[in-house]
Amino acid sequence: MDTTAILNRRAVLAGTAALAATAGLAAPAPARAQEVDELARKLMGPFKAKEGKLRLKMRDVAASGASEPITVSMDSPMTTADHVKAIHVLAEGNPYPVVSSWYLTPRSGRAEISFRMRLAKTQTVRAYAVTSDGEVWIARQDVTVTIGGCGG
Amino acid sequence: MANSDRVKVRIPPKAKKGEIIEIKTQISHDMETGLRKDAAGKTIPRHIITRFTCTWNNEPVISADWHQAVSANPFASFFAVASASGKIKLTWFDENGETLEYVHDILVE
Amino acid sequence: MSEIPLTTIVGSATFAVGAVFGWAARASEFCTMGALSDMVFMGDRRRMRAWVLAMAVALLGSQALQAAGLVDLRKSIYLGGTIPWAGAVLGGLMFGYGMTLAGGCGSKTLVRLGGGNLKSLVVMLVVGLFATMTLKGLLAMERIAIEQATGISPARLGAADQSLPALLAGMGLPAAVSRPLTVAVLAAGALVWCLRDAGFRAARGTVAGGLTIGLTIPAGWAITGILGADDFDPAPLASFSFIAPMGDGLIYLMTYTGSTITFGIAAVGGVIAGSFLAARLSGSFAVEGFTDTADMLRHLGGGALMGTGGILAMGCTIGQGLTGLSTLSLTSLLALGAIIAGGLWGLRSMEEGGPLPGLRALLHL
Repeated sequence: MDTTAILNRRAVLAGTAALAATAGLAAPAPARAQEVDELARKLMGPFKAKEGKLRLKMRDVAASGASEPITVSMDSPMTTADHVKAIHVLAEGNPYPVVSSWYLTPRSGRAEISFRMRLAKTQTVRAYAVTSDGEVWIARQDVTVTIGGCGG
Repeated sequence: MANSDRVKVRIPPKAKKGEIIEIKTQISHDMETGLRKDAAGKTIPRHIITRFTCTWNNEPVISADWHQAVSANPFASFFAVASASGKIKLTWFDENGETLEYVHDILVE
Repeated sequence: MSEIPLTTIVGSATFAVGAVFGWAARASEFCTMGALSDMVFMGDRRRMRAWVLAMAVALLGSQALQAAGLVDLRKSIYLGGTIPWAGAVLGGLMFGYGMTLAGGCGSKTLVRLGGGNLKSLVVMLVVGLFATMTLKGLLAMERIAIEQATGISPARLGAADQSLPALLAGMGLPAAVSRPLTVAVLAAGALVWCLRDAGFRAARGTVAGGLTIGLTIPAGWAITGILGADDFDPAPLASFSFIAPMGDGLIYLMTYTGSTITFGIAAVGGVIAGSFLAARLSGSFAVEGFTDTADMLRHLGGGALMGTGGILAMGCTIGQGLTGLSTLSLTSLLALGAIIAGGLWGLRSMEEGGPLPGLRALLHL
């Protein structure tokens, strides 16, 4: 590769990095996400969350920032020995990130809850599920919130 | 306490023993976040439902802590195992001390 | 027991009625712009009469549903909150002018697309893009700035809501009388004007078209307001309107796996399908493209004006002209007037060679 090509390549890489930095993409985990981690620890005690079993269902683009449907579910036998005992929903971009906490029992029969939440802006919503044997599962959903308006 | 007329509920009138039924609820409530300002510029104080519980013949099925991001006129749907005939009781506790209740009679065969 | 989701039921019913709309529009050559140009350039009022007939039937049908307590039109977007008169006038003018460039309004674009016209496919894509951009994208803040700077609350006019009967009631007419009186005067006036012409009465196809299209409007209210009524997740009360739904439709195609069908999206699909069927069966289906660059530019510009104008005016010729008007909304009257004015301006501009000469000709300067 000749000198001109190397210089051009460096310029492109530098430019991209600068752009990424201004967009906040190159920055390390934002302070907000860490704040939410702290709130989650307050709710559940110290934990190590795993991904995979917990399902968080929300639209990618919210129809409304005032009332967006959300469903959190996990396959579980819901027996006394093995059940989901809590589901916590947190919103990284909301003024107060803890949205709601649901405490299930074996009488719930199915580990699934649905409700509607407020979204202050485009953000990541998290759901945590705590099982009776102390396992913690996490699921995340990025939701884009635009301004609404009447149709036409 | 009589069933609150601010509550809408969808629960089957009967179920088979051991069947998992879906319970859908909605209650009329502003769920004022405490972040809005009125026309004069004064902040409207927070006023939300903070706790919700469901019991089946007085045994807890599910309970929840709600905060201000729960939407106005909160909808909630969850499940319960049909254990025995009796009463399913839903209760909402708002932070100003008001309690709203709804009791549904269910037949389990 | 597996339940068919309510959204599927509403969507399917809407698609079917939309197909009826598309078929009838194609078969009877129903067209707002065509009606205007026939009247202005040829003195032929036949298609305008079909349009006015549709309006009268839509009004009567919708108000009958309201009177029977089956739907509450105040829950629709046409009677809500403030009166966005600036958007209605500006948007209406833009839409009206744009439709003359693009070969037809929202519904006409879909009908032409169903018949194989690729020009209308391009128009639809541009309308959808500009509509969603104006509603929640790049132009949204500008739209909101206009609304906030100029919106008038109906209370300032002494009315409970922005419907004509409410305005008249605010001016002193007893509320119980104002609605039936308004409906009777408008509908009777429209029907008399349409049907007293023997030539129109004899044009059975045209009359049937106007009648059918008029009936789809109350059908839409019934589908969303009665069929779609659910305690926990009711379908938003709506009837046929084509601008925002074109944008929604494109997004739906692109995000299908995470999206739910709405009335508007199903309506767009239905109209295209109905028109396609009618075109195939009559042998008039023909794939057609742009003749030259100027033709393409006109259609692109027209689409952009229709997309943005249609959102500012909260509807198109069908959305405001038929659906909005059936609620007797003041905004709908303003919007329709502006659309007609914009359309006339556009038609004159085509004749005179440009918007300024066209405006001069229109105002007889």
